[in-house]
Amino acid sequence: MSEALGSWFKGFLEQVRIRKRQYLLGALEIVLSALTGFLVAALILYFIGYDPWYIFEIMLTYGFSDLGYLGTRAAPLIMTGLAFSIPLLAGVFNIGGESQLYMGALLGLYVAYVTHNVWLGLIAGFIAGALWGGLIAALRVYRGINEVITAIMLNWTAYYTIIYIILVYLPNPKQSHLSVQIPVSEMISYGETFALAVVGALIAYFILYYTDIGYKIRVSGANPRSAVYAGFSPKTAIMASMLLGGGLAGYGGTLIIAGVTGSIDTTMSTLYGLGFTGIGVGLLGRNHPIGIIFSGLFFAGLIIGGQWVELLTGAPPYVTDTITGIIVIALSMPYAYRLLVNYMGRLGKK
Amino acid sequence: MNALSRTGWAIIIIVIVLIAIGGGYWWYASSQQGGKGATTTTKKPVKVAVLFDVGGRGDLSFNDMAYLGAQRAAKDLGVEVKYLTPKSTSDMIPLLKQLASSKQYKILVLIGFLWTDALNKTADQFPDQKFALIDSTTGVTRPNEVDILFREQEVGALIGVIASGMAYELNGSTIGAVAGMSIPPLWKFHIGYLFGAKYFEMKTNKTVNFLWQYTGTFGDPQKGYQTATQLLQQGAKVLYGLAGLTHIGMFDAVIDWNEKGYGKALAIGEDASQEWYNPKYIPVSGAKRVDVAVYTAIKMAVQGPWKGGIHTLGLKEGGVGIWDLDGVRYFAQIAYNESKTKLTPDQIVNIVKQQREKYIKPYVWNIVHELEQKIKSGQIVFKTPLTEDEYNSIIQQLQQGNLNAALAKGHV
Amino acid sequence: MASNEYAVEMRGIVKVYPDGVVALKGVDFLVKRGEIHGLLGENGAGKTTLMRILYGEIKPTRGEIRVFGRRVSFRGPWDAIRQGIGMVYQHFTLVPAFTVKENLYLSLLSVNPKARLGDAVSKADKIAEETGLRIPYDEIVEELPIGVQQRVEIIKALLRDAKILILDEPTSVLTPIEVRDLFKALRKLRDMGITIIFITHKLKEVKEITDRVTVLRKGKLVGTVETGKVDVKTLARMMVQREVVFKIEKKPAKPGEVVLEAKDIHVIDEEGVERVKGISFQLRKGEILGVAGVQGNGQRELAEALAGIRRVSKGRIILGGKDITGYNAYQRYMKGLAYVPDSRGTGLVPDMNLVENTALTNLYRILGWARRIKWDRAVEITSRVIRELEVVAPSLYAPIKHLSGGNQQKIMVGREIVREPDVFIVAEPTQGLDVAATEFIRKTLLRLRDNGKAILLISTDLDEVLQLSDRLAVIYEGQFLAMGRPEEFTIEKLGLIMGGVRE
Repeated sequence: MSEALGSWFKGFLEQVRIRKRQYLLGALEIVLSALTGFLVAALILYFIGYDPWYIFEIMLTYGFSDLGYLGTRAAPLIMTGLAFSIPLLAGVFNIGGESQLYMGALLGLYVAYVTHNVWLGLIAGFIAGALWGGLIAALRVYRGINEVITAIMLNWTAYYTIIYIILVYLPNPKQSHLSVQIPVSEMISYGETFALAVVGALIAYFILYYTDIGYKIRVSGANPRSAVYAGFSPKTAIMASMLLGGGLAGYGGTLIIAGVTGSIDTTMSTLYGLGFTGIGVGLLGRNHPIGIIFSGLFFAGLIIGGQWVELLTGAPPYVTDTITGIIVIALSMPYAYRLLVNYMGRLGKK
Repeated sequence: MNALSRTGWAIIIIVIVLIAIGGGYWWYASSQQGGKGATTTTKKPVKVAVLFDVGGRGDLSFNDMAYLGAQRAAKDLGVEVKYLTPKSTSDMIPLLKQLASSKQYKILVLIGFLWTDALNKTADQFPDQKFALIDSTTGVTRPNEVDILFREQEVGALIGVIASGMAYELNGSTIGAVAGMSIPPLWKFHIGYLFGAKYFEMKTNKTVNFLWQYTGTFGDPQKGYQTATQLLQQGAKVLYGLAGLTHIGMFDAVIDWNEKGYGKALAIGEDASQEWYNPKYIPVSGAKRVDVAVYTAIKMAVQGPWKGGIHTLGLKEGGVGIWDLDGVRYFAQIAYNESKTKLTPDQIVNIVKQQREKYIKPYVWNIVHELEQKIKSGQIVFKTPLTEDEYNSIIQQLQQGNLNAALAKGHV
Repeated sequence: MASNEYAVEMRGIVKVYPDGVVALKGVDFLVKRGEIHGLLGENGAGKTTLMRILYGEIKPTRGEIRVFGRRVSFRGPWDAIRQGIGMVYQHFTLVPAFTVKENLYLSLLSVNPKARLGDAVSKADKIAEETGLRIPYDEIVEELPIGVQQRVEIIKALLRDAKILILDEPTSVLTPIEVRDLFKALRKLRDMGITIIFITHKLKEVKEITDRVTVLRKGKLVGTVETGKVDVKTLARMMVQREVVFKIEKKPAKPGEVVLEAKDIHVIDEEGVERVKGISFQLRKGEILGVAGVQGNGQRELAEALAGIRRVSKGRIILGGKDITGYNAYQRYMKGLAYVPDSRGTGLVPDMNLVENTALTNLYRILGWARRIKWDRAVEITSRVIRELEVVAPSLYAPIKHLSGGNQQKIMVGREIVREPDVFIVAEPTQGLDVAATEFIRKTLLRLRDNGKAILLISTDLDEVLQLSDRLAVIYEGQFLAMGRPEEFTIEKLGLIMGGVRE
């Protein structure tokens, strides 16, 4: 055992040594992008009359000071980030993380409510998200329907279905704008919520880099022709990546219900937008599960910090939204650009 | 190799430039901060925080009214008001905890029902922090929490009279409402609106047909449009919008009904003044004064007397009512500034004035004022149903003409 | 000046690609006005490069181009189009989802922004009238047969007032009847005064349609002749004549039992074209069966069908006495078949490292419990490949794209060798490699043969197949036109068969 660990560690060091230049360049790219983003944001803030330095200070200090809050806010983002990135590794654009999260949250809530067991709820959430994602994949694989279109339509389908189900079948007798609630005693703590998200990301990492199917997913995405050559079925890779990605999104949906709100409200404000933000999280995390943990935390910090900017400076929320947007775009742009070039190149060859 | 070192150089130069800019800014910022520090030490006003609904300002309704009330409080009471818009309901609990434990704010004013659960889960942990919840209640009485509710029946009743009068001016006798979800505030509107219609019948001996339709949503204009069109087809002449965004669709349906020549109809808004949306066909709006509620809550915390529990605002307190032309102008101005209407506030106010004169006859105003007087003086007090069964039974009795079934005190 | 006589004059054209490959070594190419001029050569002779230069797609390193006597220097195809040059590629450049009309309009717009949809139709009608190239205007392009799409491409070029029309292997996608129609139309175009450059490797067609023909070989001009004055044998010799560069020591083969057998296999590609039309052969242990032919005659489809990447529409494949027709590639690799594809773009994942790339076809050998990948095992295998094939790489974990072409090829071949399969299907194993790497790979193949492996070598490099093969088959349009011992083929005969002339 210790020997295996030792050899793994040696391999790791070897990796670092060999890829030193690659890693350095990567780090440099991130630093440069961040500087550019902050610089552009600062200029904009300056011209609309705010003190950029003070606003960055608020975002970074308040955003990252309450670790419990940061962790729970990051948990669903990490999961939707993975929901975007894992299918992307297989060459599929999953922008349906949003609805996969919804479905997971709904079924997770229901199971946890009925069984009084959050763990069963988390499993149910995973399954619901996986099935919802699998539906998109199945339509793509067996009917040739573009996954982006399906995902957009299913996002709204899920949105309205959930509101309907909450209103009609799971209304909260005490508070009419809420669904039924998971008993407070059954809910998990902030720390547990984050830890469970990290566990999810680590499992995703293991599957992608240490199993047969993960390898097939990565090959299919990196070079579909190689995958066909090696006799891997691209259909299987797409299905598997969407099942896993969707499942993680659903699991993330349950995490936020089980860890924070305990219920879903009829305006959907608890869940809305988490899936879309996940796209940024995935890109910023460079499609790597470990990277996504950190980018999820970073995103969460910016979101939390952004709320404080309004409180402390009076700047309306859209100012901070703009700033967050610029920073995130700057950070993910070089990578997104490379991905796009790759993707377009592949389209062109076909 | 050559190309590589060239990129290397480029990167190094960019880094140096960026660092130079950043450093320059740092220097600039720190020199600025010295000056700033000197001015802020003079006086420390009481701070309060207003926490908006998810979505925040710009809704021309709840959040904008809350802002209005808080600004008035800042002016009249000399408090410093801070604002915060949460990104989602999952941010509410941590934000409340952080704000409460900072001990910076005399009171935290929470706008809208989305805060209910978060408040319920945090209020007990911070006994020294005062909270106010606007337009919702946790159902728990705490010494550090006030829940400010509105007596929607009172505005509903006045609108019921006005709507009935307007229907007769349009050669009809049917009034209707497009409602959101079947929740307690809507029950109260329903009771009031129906009461008003029956009161009109009693005073004038003209019959009024009454239609009420729940859409099940506060956020779906399309649903509102469909529901409103159905009601118009059933002969409704006046529709009362009680469904938030959903009844924007109702407005559109009424506008189309007129402009496509199917018939004549009018719409009535609620909460904020909504006349600006189309003053020709929306001559009047019911008021639910979130601004008054916010002001009241801040005043209670700053000047006292403070008493935890539920407080209700009605006609007497100015918490509900009919928007007067000043109110219409105020919201018309906001809408105009945000380019949501092309009409200037003056134009809007003029059209509203004309339309009111045309469709709300003096005899109707007389009934309205008489009823208003009875309510304000406390001569009559409406019941507040606690369960859905109670609500249904009140509605049933009202429909049979038993007006007193809606009253907890007094009779007509 | 002779400028009146020639439509195209290209003199002393040299093209060196950025990676150092010299594609053209000073070629003169002269096309007279109003003739059909053939451009003949093997793969890699530089035909396409020369034409892409004429069309402005790439710039020559050196050399002078004149069009109708005027010296030109194109910045891009749009310049060439303005000078009256049109090109019809093998792969069409139509918008598949648009109708014919819309496609024509689109191309007209690129030269005349004020054009209207009606202009395109009326102009195309006139051209169709004159040339007999009839096309339906309201059909969606992707629903049309290939032959009709090609007609649309030609009309598209003529719409832009092309005076010089370049056709790149136009007959490779057509049925014989469509070819006949095309030739009829080309003759009409010539009679209208349009100059046509016809790129091909099919000798029959050269004889049938062209007035003069220029032959290129390995980036050099062999000569320009009047077609009527030479016979196909001469043309074949001009095309394939060569001096052997080096000779490899080769022991006589000791063929053993049959391990791979193909029985009348047919393959239809994605576009519905039948690419392999009934090929049968037997492959024995300890022999190399070479398949020679000009690129695009069904070699890739044949190889992929054997490897299980493509389905056969008809026929059976038998490996070691077992029918494997229904197996997928992964299963066939497990059963002892190896395939080295013709392109490193297929065989390798550029962004993955050496270990991950080696795992590609060795996956079944490195799986542990619950289909977990044992990377330490993969590392062992990769180390063996590196050792046995003398691969030069910075590390096991370097992305494979950082390796040279030769080393990439060694990984592709080596990872198959270490699996010790019985049958190797090897396509273009030395394409783009330097002399040392080429020799290494060829020697490796011979060593494998001597060790009793069966090898199917598919190559467009005549030297390679002639040197290595124990038996040789010539593929033309999806069929083996000839099979025999390499000594039975003279270079001239080989050239004729590769050009589709059977004696």
